[in-house]
Amino acid sequence: MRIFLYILFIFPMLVFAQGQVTVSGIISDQNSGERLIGASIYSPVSKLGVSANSYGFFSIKLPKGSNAIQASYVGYQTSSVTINLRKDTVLNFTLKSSLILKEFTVKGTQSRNAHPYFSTLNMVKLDMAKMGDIPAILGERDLLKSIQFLPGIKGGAENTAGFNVRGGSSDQNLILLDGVPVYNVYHLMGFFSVFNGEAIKNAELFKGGIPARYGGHLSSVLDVSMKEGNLKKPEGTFTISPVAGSFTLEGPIKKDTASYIISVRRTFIDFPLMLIQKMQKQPYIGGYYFYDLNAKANWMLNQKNRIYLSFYSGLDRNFFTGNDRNLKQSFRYQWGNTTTVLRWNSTITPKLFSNTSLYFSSFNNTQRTKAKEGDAVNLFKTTSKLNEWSFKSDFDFYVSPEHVVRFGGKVSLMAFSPDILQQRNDETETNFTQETRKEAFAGEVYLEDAMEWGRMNANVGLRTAYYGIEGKTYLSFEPRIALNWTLKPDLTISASYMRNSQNLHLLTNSSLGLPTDLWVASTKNIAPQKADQYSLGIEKHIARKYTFGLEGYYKTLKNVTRFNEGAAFLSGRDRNWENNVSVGEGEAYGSEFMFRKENARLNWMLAYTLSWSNQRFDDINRGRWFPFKYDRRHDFSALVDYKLKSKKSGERKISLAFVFKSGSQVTINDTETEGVMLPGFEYYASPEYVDKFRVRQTYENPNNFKMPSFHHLDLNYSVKKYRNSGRGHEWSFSGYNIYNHLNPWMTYKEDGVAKQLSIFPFIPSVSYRYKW
Amino acid sequence: MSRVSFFIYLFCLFLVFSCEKDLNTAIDVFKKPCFNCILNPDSVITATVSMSKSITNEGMPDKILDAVIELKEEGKPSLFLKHIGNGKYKTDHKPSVGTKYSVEISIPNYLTLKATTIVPIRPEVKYIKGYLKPKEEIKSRYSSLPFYPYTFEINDKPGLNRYWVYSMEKYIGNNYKWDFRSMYYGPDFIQYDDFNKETDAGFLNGFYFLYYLRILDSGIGSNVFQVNEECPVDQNYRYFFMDTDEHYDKYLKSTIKQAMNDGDNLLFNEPVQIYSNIENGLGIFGSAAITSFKL
Repeated sequence: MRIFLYILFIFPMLVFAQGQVTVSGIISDQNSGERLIGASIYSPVSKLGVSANSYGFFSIKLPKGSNAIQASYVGYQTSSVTINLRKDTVLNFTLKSSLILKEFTVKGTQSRNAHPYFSTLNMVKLDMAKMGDIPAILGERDLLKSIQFLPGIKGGAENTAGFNVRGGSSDQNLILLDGVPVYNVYHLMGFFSVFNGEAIKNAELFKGGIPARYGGHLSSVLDVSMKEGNLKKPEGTFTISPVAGSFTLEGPIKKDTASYIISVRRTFIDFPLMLIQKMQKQPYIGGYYFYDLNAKANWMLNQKNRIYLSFYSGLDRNFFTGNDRNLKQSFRYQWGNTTTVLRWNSTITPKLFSNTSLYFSSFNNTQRTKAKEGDAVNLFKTTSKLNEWSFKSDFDFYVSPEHVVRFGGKVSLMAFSPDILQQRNDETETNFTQETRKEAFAGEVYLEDAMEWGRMNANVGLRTAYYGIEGKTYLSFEPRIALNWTLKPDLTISASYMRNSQNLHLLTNSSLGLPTDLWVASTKNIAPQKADQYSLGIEKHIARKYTFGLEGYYKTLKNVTRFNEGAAFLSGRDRNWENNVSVGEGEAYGSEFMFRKENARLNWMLAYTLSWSNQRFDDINRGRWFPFKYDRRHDFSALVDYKLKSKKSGERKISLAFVFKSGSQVTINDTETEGVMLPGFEYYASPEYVDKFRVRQTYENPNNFKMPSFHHLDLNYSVKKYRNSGRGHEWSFSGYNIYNHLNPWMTYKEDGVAKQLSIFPFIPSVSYRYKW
Repeated sequence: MSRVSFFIYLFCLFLVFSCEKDLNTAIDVFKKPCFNCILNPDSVITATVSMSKSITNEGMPDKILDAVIELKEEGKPSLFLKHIGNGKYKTDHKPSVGTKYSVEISIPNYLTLKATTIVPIRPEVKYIKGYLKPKEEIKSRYSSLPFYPYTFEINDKPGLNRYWVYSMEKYIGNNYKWDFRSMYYGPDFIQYDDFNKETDAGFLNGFYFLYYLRILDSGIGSNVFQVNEECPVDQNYRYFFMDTDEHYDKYLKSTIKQAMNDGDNLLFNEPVQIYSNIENGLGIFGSAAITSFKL
């Protein structure tokens, strides 16, 4: 063990180069001052390069004397300076956006992979500009739907934002917004995610070899960063689609020092609905809407310190109110997240960068019914809440260009109040199930070391997590290793191992992102979930345009939870959730394939996944293994975009997306057997009930029926017009499912006949975006 | 109708009628023999043997008439159940409490079915009848008549027991109709299983238990479980206290869950798999011992 630690952490520190100075600084956008995450710094003389971190900060050790330093970023013109280095120097770069010159910028620069330790299939940096070109249903671009085109990521029901990574369930994805976990990331039965594309700057997805700085969920990490706000001049964006509109405003509070961004999105389908109901003079008026509000402000206190304050609030509300004679009734069903974070970035020394955060994240689901007749008032309310307060601190220590050590920790207090019932009338006020409220304390520390040894890149680390609830404590040690070995300049082999633990469990009846989903904590009876994942892959670049990747993975899961058969929070039964879940294990394995071509005019990506995913619970299916609900054997997707015209004044582009997935698994009764009469029924004279139990319906194993395959082809045509003033607008015309294939969204039984409901036939849409 | 209106109308029709279709859910089901037998120390042993069938096939499951059922009682010679017609089998023997039984069922062309059970001991229960109380004092539910309070005490046996309590009621003068009396409350110290708990504001504490109250036993023994009841004077009552083996316990739970699931009629409910302990087949070989009272 000591040798292992020595190799990983001590030895690299001993290989400090002598006679060198540290150059550190920030790389940002020239027009907006936005920091450029993952931008590259390269010294052609010393052939050394580094990447900026999540806050645009870089630190590189270079030899003393005259050095040329280049800063580059995809979509920006490269900036170069030649400087005579004598001592540690702070050097900030501002890069000029170069949308039209994108291809030349990429080719002409020694662009550096910001994460050379991970294979392309394990870690994906999502291009937010490209996300806008993917055909979108009803014109609403969605980050979580876009990532479902990637290999190894499987969507839930059609067109829902929920996703499953390498055989994990959707709750096993850690989704961070500005470093804060967001628990319910869905709107409107999962059709939309809570991420408003106008407010997002950057997103990174990790599927394997997840760095030690991330923890708390088993399968993947989606790290989303909000824009910071333009430090130079005010800007705005307005978008409208058939279902929603958004408005974004950003600008300097004090030029080059402080800025803000505020972005609001709201659906408006409730307005015409309410108008129709009013015109029909109906006694009750009802509707549904959701909104998202993103706000962020930042202050540069000085060259070394910056403070951020971010806020997000999203809410779905289904409502009706009415007045019938003397009876006034109102019903409200709402659910949503609130997150807020105060962050402090500090460059402590040219080699040491810190980020300290204090955040609050909350998910709240409330159902409220109120009836008033005269002076008599009746109120029925159910609520489920999850609140998290956390303090965390992360440090990046740039030992050398080839060696970065990251370390930090987090403490959290979580309060879970699932399924609290309140009933109030004139005579009584009763609160049921208050005892289900639980508080948990969690603490985590990590040490992560990113190293480059010649052709070998490695990111190794260890995360230790403590979790305490109801007097019971759980401790987990989570080693993480990601290796990338460059055999030839265009050929790389990668391997990774990771162990993760998860204290949270999502109890869900479906994949639809319904508000009835409950987040609950591990308890003294139900231990945290754990997963181990191994992956091995190969990546080949051909002619600098094509990338081919193949990766295999094997994952085991422990303490995964599942609703007991027949349990359903939708039924409104007053339940102690611990009695209604089963705890078991799982395994998933498969291989992912990706073939991609990138040049400025024609880009395409083909992705295919062949996978298996199974689960086992002692008290389900006699303890035998059965397929996971999203055990889709084959998953193929293709994305193509072609620029018809690309000039300084505008762009016309056509894009195409095709998806084919094996059907998901559902459980249906397939067998009838003779039954035993239940005790007491021998006295019960009602023949219909006696007959009812003469035959039992059952099934061989859960998830025994594979739904029909799922496929659709979508098209998008977009026209963008730019003006020199920075103003511009964009029209997008989309066709979803253009050959009108009826994909199953859900199944149900009517008069004993199974039916599939398809709710997304061919859907054309148009959306508009205006930027000033 | 203008051409534009016509196309809009056509398009709407297209959207509406393209959204639902029948789903072929036929699954190749391997038929398996199904053996059902619940041992009760108060009854002679009876069993049924039939063949499972695909849910898509009409009719009742086929009876198996030529099964050979060998029942082995711990430390005694084997018993063979005789076919008495229509797939029913019987022996005049009554099972003994606390005894382990194993069964082997041979059916031509099928693997031998096997299962075991241990017959539990009858619950030791006594009850105390209280004085007649006016209707206004009833707490558990609405009643327009005076009632008798009853307290039942179950003297817990050592080891893990699986107690089920149920009761029937019948209006006095009605000679043919017994109805299940919903189990609606118990003192807080009873650890009950809430798998069949139904919310209903008409009951004390806002809930009742469908058909049965299943008591969770810690397995320590020497506890006295109390069940309190309030019985209005216009009805007759039967109370049953049942202890089951682990298999019959699971079988009952799965059956009741399934019945509740069917009643919910919710789209997102997952079907319930009926528990079976029959190796190479389906069905149940379990046991129960019942103590009952007629009040």
